[in-house]
Amino acid sequence: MFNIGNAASKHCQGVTRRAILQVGGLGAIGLTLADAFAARASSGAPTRERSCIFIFLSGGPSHFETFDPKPSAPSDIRGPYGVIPTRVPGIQISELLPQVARHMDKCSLIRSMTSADGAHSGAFLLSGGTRGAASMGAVLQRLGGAGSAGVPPFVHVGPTGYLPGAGNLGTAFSPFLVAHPTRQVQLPEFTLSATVSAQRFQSRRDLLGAVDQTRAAWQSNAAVGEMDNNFRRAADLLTSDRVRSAFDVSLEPPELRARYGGNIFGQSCLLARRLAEAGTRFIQVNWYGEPAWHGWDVHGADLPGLGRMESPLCPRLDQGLSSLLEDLHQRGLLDSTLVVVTGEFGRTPRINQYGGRDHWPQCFSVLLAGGGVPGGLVVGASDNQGGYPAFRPVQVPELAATIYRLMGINTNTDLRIRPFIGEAAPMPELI
Amino acid sequence: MKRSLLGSLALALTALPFLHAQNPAPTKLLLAFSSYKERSKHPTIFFYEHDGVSNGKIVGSVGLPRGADASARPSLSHDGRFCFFTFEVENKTSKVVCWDRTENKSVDLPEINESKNAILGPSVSGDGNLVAFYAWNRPGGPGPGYHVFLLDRSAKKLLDLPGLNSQSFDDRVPNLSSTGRFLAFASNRKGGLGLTDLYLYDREASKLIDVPGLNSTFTELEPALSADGNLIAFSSERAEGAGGRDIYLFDRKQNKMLPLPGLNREGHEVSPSLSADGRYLVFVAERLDGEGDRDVYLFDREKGQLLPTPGLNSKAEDFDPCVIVLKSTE
Repeated sequence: MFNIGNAASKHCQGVTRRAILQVGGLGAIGLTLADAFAARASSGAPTRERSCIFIFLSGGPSHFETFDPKPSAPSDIRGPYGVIPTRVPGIQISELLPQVARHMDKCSLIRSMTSADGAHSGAFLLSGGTRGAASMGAVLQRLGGAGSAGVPPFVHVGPTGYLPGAGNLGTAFSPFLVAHPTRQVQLPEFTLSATVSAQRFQSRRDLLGAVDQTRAAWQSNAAVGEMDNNFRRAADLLTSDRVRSAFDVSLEPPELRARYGGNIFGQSCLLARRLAEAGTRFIQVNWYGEPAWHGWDVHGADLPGLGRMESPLCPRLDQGLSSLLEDLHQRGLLDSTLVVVTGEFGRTPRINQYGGRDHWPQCFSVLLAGGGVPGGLVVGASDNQGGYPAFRPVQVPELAATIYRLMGINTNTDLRIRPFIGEAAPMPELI
Repeated sequence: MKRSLLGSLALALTALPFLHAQNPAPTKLLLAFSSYKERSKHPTIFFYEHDGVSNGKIVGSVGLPRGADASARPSLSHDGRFCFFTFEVENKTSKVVCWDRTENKSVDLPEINESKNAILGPSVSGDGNLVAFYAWNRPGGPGPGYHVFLLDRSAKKLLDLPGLNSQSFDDRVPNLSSTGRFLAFASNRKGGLGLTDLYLYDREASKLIDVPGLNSTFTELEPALSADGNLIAFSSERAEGAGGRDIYLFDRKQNKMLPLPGLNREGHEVSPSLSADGRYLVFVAERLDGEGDRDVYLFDREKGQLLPTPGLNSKAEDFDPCVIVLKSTE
C-alpha cells in the first residue's frame, strides 16, 4: 500500500546512507503509482466523474440497532431501543440514529442483504463476494481512467484492519493509505506527509536520479522512458500542494470539522468528502481497527454488548454519516458521490447471555445514498425476527454489480467485470 | 529581637485555629473512570484526585491482576473507599466487582453475581451499602430483557422494587441517590413521551414519581442523581441542543432545566455523573481539541465552567466517569 501517514524519520538532510537504503522502499512507492498511471494510460477508458465512499463498519453492525429494528418482536429480539420515524414516511430506523433519520430521503436501504460468510473479513463485501480478491477500488482503478488531475484514484482511510487492497490484481492497484486521519490533522504522521515529505521525496527523487545514471545504457528504451514519465507523474502527485491539500482536513472550517465529530471516524468521513471532491474515484473508510474492542462486534463478551451501540458506536456513525450526507448535498456533490455503508454481516436476532448479539450473515442491512441511487427507498425486507430475508434476498455480488454500474462500468457489455461479479446483475431498483 | 520573634510566632500559632476556621479545608475531588490508556484492548478503572480548581493527578487504578478483562461504569462510595464497576473477562459474562481502595482487594458480591447472564452498571449509595445494578435475564427477574435490581449488602439480599421490571419492557442503567432513597433509570416502557425515557423511583413510597418536564419526544439516557434526588443530569438527543447528544440538568423543585453554560458543544456529550452536592458534573465528550477520541471533562456548576484536569485524559479513550467530593480528613 501507499502510505501517507507513516514516516519514520523526521529529519532528512541531503543524501545519506540511510536514504540510499530507503530507495528500495521509495522505488516501490513510486513504481506503484507509476504502474497505476501506466495501467490507466493503457486501459483507454474514459475519465469518470462519479466517486464512491464505501464506509465499512468493521465488526459487523447489528441491523436491529441501526437500519432494521423490530419494535414488535419479543424483548430478547427487539432489544432495549425504540424506533424513530425518518424523513420518509413509513421508514423507521433505530432511535440511536436520529440524525441519519433526517437524511433518509437521500438514502436507500437494503434490508435483505444475505451472505454465506460469517467470519470477520472485509474482503468478501468489498470484493463482491470473492474472498481474497481485489477491493472494488482496485477493480475500478484497473478498469477505469486516471481520475481527476492526478489525485490517487483509490484511497483507504483509517486502519487497514482486514479490508482488501489490490488483491490478486497486483500492487500497482493498491490503495493510497491514510492510516490515521484523526481529528488532529496536525498529526505527526500527516504533518510529515504534508510538509516534510515533499522535501524528503524530492531528496529521494534526486537520489534516484543519481542511481539512474548507472542505468543510462538502457534508458533509451521506449518502455523505460514511459516508466520515467509515469514516475514523474507519481512524483508530481506527491509534491503537488493541491493534491496534498486534498488530504488535509485542517483546511476545513473548525465548525464543519466539529460537525463531523471529534473522533477518527468523523474526520475520516470529512477526509473522504475532500478526496471525492478532488476527484478520487473510490475511498474506502474503515471503522476503527479492532472489531471487538472498538468496532461493531458487539458479542457482549468484551464490554457490555448493546451498551456500546448506545455509546460510542451509533452516535459516532450518526454524526459522521449525517454530516457527510449533508455536506455532500450542500456542495452539490451528492449526485456524483455514491455513499455505501455496511459491515461484513449482521447480528443474531436473539440477544445472547452476555447481553450482546453474535455474527449473523444470513440477513443484514446496507445503506446507499447519492451517486444516482433513488432516495427514500427500501429494497427487500427481513422476516419479523430479522433473521432471514422475507423477500428479495440480495447477494453480495449483486451489490457489487450495482456499485460498479453506478460507477460507470457497463456490467452488461464490459466483460472485464465478470471475474469480479460472476453472473450477477445490478439491482434494477437502485439503478 | 529574639523575644519579639518568639512572641510573633506564638501569636501566629494562637491565630491558626481562627485562620483555619476562616479557610475551610480545600476541596478534594475523587474521580473514577474507565480507560484504554494502559491496555489498548482492555479498559481499566483509574482513580484521579483533583483540587477543585485546576490541578489533579492519577492516584491509582483497580489492582486486579491484568488479563483479558475489561472494566467500566465505576461508582464510588462517598468516602472513596469502595469502587463498584462492571467487570468482564473475555468470553465470559460480565459481573459487578467491588474494589476496596483501603484494603487493596476485591470484595465478593455473590448476591449480585448469581447469574449465568450479564450483570451490569452498578450504582452505589453513599455509605456503600446499597448497590443498584441491571442485568440481562437474571434469575429472580421477569425473564428475558434488561431489568433493575437493588442489593442491600448488610442484609445480604436483594430488595423488592414493586412496580419495576416487566417482561414487556427493559429497565436499565440505574442511578441511586447517595441516600439510597431515589433510583433513576432509563426504560422503553409504554406510556412515556417517546423512545427511551427516564424514570424516577422513590423507595420510600415504593412507586414511580412523576417528573413532568424531564422527558421529551427524543431519546433520554444515562440519568445521574444528586444526593437528595432533586437534580437529575442526563443525556438526550433532543433537537434544541448544541448538536448530537447533549447533557441536561433538571431541577425537580424548580421543575425546569438548569443552565450548563459552555458545557455542550457541536459533538456528543454523554455519560454524566453528579457529585452528591450537585456542584460537580463529570461527563464524556469527543472534541477536536481533546486528547483522544473520548475524553473525560469536569464541570464546576458554581463557577459555571470546565475545570482543567491535567493528566486525566490520554490519547486512548477515557470514559464512564463518576465523581465524589471527599470529606475533609481534618
